[in-house]
Amino acid sequence: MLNAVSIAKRTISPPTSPGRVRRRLVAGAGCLALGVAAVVASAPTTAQAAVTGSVYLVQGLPSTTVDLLVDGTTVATGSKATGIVGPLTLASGTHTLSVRTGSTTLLDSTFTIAASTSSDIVVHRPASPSGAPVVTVFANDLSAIPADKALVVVAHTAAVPPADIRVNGKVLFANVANGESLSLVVPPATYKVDIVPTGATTPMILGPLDLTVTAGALNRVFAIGEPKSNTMNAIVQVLKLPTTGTASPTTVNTGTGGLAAQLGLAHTGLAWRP
Amino acid sequence: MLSLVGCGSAALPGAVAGASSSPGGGATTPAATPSPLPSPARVGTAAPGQQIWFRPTSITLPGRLTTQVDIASTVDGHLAVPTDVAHVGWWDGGAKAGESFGSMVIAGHVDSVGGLGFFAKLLSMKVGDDVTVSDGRHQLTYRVGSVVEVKKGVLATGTSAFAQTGNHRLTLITCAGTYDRGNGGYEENLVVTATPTGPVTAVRS
Repeated sequence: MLNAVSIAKRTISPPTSPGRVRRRLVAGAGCLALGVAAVVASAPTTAQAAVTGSVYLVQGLPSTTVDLLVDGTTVATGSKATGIVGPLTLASGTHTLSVRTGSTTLLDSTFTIAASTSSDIVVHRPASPSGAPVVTVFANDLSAIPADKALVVVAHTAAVPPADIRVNGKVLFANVANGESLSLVVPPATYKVDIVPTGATTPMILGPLDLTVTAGALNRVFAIGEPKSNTMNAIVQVLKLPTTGTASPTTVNTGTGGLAAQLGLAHTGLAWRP
Repeated sequence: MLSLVGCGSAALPGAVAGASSSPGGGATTPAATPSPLPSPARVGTAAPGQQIWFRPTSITLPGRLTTQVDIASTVDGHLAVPTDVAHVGWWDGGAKAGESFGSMVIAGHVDSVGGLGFFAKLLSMKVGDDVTVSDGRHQLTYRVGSVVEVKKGVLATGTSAFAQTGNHRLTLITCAGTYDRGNGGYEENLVVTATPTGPVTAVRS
């Protein structure tokens, strides 16, 4: 039984002028029939969790408006590139995704999900610009993290060869091929992100973009599109995570009894200077 | 011949061509084009360079002194390190071993009424010493870059011992300095800071 709980969409605006434009990645309005939500909690209810999983459908095909069907049921119409549908609660097992433009089927794809998992199912271009659209399932790691940390996962779903993703000028995600992703835990901040071919500094495939990373959350970034048609873009999806860990302490009292001092061990002679 | 629906949608290579309208004059919903059997979706994988990070469960100091690392939480503003002074505690709000940013904090008692703690060893550590942490499957070695005493009241506010910004480092904390029994015990914290010597590696079994 298909249960469209809500729709989440985080988009960036397409470039208004050719060439490198510094853009801020922000949430945008949706074009989907079922409405728009803000940052979405992704876990199904406890009762459902035992036999269901959670999926988001990610529309990563540039210049294409599609309808999305799961197991024959329409879940989204008129979905443009960067659209996100979900979370959808599905029974664990195998399902079929159909991507259509009107009455034309672009692809039908089966995917399998396990109970109590969360996945992003992305329709995107393969590495080769002339290849047919593909579907890749990316598992969402929804493990708890400290509230002041952010998990960033960058996925390559664009029609380009393997790439390096640079953050504030430094390669933090190296040699990512189409269909692959890399994860990193970072402090929350707004970072300048760009993408270049692996091992190179030019040409810039995408960016530089300002990426605001949200703490206590999984921040997913999907690179999509194809350079020659000037459709390179990035989809940002933010999934709140459970928090773990405690705040930093005010004091660390790690000695009782004074034995070390008695033994003359406790002075290292290295005083701290402000 | 493809039928294009909607504004701006372009024909994609490999799209399935098919009929766009229902036969005859009946008011039937246009059927979707017949398509090949569904193919299985690809499975996204981690790129080969995926970084590994882990919560340490053991620490080894110079001289091959190894002990268990428990989890230490902050309670009422105090970092609750293991009461067994033979063990030390990893602060659960700090970085894990192998992360790219932030301080990984491991703290332990320098002593108790019963004897010296494992971290009494910190008092004799020097710049250039190596410290290795492990979880049994992974390990990471850090090299000491500084050993300093800090007045207790300054540890949290005047140092970056607990900061989760900046490059990843290991911060080892115990107590040091003058012991004032009537006034809160040791007056200083000893802070050893070390930086990774390389990437996380697998523990050879």
